[in-house]
Amino acid sequence: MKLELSEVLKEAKADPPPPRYGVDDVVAAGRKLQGRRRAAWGGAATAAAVVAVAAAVAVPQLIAGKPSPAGQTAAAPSAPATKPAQVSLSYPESRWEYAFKGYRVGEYQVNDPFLVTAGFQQATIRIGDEMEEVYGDLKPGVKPGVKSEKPSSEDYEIAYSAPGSSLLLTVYRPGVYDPALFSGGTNVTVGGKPGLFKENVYLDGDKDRRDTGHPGLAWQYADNAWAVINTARPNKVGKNDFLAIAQGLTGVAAYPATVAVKLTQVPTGYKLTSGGRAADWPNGGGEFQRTSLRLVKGGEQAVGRMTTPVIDDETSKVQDIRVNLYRIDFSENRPPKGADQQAPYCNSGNSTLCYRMAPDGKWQVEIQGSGKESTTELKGVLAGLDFATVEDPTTWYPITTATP
Amino acid sequence: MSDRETQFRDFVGAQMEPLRGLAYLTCGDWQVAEDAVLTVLAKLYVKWNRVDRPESYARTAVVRAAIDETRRPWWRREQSHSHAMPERSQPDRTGAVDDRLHLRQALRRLPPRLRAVLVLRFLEGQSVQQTAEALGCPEGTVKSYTARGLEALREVLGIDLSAETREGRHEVRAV
Repeated sequence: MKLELSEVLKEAKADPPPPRYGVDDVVAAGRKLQGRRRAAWGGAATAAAVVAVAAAVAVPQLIAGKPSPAGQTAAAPSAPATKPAQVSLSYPESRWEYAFKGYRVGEYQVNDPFLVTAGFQQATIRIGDEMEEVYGDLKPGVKPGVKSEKPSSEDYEIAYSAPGSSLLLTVYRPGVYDPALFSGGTNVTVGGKPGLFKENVYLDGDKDRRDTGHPGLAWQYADNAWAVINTARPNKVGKNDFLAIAQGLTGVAAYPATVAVKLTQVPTGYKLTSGGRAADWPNGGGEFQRTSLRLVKGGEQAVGRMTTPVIDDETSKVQDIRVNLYRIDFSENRPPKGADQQAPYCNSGNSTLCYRMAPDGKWQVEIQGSGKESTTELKGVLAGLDFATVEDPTTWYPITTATP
Repeated sequence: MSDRETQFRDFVGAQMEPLRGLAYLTCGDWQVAEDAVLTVLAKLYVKWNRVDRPESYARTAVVRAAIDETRRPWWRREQSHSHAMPERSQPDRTGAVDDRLHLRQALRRLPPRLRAVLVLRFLEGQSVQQTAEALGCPEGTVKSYTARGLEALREVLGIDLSAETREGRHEVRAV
């Protein structure tokens, strides 16, 4: 008897049981996962949804933000060490400079800003000692997730974690922000300046969302210049707290945004458009990240009026390259065994993603292309990349020197 | 519904069943296979616009995920308690089910990565290089696994096996 192996394999998978999942289940799981990533800067808003995904999908590593267990505190790496001289907040002329430093209001820690773009800069706000936690395996004795048995978050081991942040502060360049999403909100004043508080306003202005409990505050920190605080943690922060956080925002002498990697070569025509310690929403990895750089072919179009801080929505067809530096426990890809562990490599089956390990082995750079760039070009960017000491921000490069 | 979602739904509708079979051959458990496929497709949904070869991406990711599932402590623990969906054990009159069970049992006796090499090369038609990239191992390992896998299957099945790959034809004869 002689058999063709391909036929053997086809036969072995024949007669499968009825599928437990359909297309709708996949789309639902994808949406929930996307919701988790969108909320990675806050996380807690989707904790329940994430757990549901973990149960239905048995995803081994999912982020869920929640207050940390007692005794498990961790200082946010971007929390300010010293209090700088304060001045009235004034948006810098240079798009590559920050206008403010972190500050604390009660249990709210406004971290140092992490991102500069043409139209705005942003900082995360941590509530108490909240953590962003990534679930690992199910705890011993717990059944794996199936549709009829949905383990709760307590059923999973915590694989790794980082400080979380449930609020996001966006400070817009004067003339950029349009507070249309706050239409119908309550009139308030912050430091004598007018503002609007709304009980439910989504960061991305999604018209299809129906969940409630996402309050937000927009106020003018200067004439025709707006700042906005959004939340991803529903029903946790009240109006008075929003106002107190806003009241605490003051300016400092403008200082340069810095990043932990420097690119010495990029494909022709690509220009840096945004970057910092972490990425623009909904991209990036929150406190698991230490650098983001976004380069757009031909540069970006002039910044128009913005109602949200979304510069690259999921339907975007912009030809761009993103360079992100992640903690290795957050980043999932590793160099092939036996290969040079410091050399760039690409993700099999997805030619838009390539990687390079940092020399210390604790961090990993990911480059994500738009699909228009060759893997040779992407690898070239990684090969020409210099690392600062990631753990020591005083060694980081000013972002204006981070690209050729 | 957006074009993006329509395209994704069409893709899932067409690929979910083949991916389920692929994952099953890799991990040997239909339930675990389905979880692995759902995990991969959920992640693919998030990055749908940025994956230029979704079929290739999904196949590779599913095999990796299925291997990872077999590494989990709970999976190993539960296997000994028949967590896997029960196979039919009654012989049928045509012998087709018996043959299938025999094949499945033979595949299950192979380590997951070795099984994955056979699946990727002989069912998916991937080259040595592609298989090595997919599994994150040297090409030499893929070649070694191919030979070992074919030999192991021949021993278990007690039959000659013939297998066509991009690099040539493999013949393994029973002795």
